[in-house]
Amino acid sequence: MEEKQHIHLELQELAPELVGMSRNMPFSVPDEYFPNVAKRIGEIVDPVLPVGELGSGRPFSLPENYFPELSGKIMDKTSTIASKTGASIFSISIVKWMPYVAAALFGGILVYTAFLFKNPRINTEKLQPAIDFTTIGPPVNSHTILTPDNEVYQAIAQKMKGVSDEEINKYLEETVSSETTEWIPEEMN
Amino acid sequence: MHPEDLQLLEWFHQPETRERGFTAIIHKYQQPLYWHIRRLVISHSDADDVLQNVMLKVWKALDSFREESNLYTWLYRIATNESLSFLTKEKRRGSFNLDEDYVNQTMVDRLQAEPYFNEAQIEWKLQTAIQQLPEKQRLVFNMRYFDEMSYQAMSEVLQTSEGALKASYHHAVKKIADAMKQQ
Repeated sequence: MEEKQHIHLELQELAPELVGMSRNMPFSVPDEYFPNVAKRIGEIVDPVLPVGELGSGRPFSLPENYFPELSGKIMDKTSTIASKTGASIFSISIVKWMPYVAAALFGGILVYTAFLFKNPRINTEKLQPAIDFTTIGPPVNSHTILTPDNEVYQAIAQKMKGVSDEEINKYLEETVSSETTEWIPEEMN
Repeated sequence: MHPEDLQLLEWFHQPETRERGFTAIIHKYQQPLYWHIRRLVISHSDADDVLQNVMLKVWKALDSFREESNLYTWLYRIATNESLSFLTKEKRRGSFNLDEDYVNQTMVDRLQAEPYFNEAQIEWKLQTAIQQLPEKQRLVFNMRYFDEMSYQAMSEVLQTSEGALKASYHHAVKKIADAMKQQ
């Protein structure tokens, strides 16, 4: 039985309403399309692969069995290097070493703390400040207002007793005025 | 293999008759291959592009063609693969939405964009119903219904068992009959 008859019988069994349906293609094709297909394909094929010159398409030559033998050669070389140097291959992973680093740091902190507890004098005697703050008077800031009842004011007044106004003015002209005008731009000075 | 195909292959394998053999193969198979591709990709310009790619591949691979299978089924396999990869590229280019309903609607839209589309005409109704099938069923239905291929030949082309192809065709026929009733 021909395949056409098989298909017909099968369709009759499955969906008889499709048996008599047209098998014509409703799609349109441009005029003269089919007569020119072979010519157009020939024009594409010829410049790419000229007849009689079919090859690998690569102008370079390679030794015979280069690629099949390449992996074996590489493996031989790596094993020779490893045996000569005695090198062993291991992987370094930061994640793998992190717990050891953390444990070492923690141990170090514990040892140092225990050492400080056993030697408490180090804290008090060796770390004594080099400057004796008790000998220094109260701090004077640029924005501190000195009043006559202030200790600093009184100390300065005591020291300035023997200095005349003229000497003070002269001192100010020589030192303070030159310092205070340093930051002023030239065009404004 | 068909004796005529053996003759064409013999011409192709001889350097002096190579072009003649290839041209004869194109002349013999251009129409069935074109219509097979066209039913899948729908537009003429796309079908033309795919057909040219198919023939280019045939030219490159014909030397390595083993004459164990039919030339006809070998050509069909190349045409089917080229058409399906063209459709996959189109789907990716047009949209990342690979939902089957969306894809089928896109195929129906392509059909409706055809110059002489007429939704009242029975052939267009049938084509619309075919485009709503899943890709594999659409392919199997086209090959059996329009190209009148045996399950054995289809099995060679699609590398699928005859039983699976039969099941796909039966599902497709039922779905198309239902769709035609609803239209």
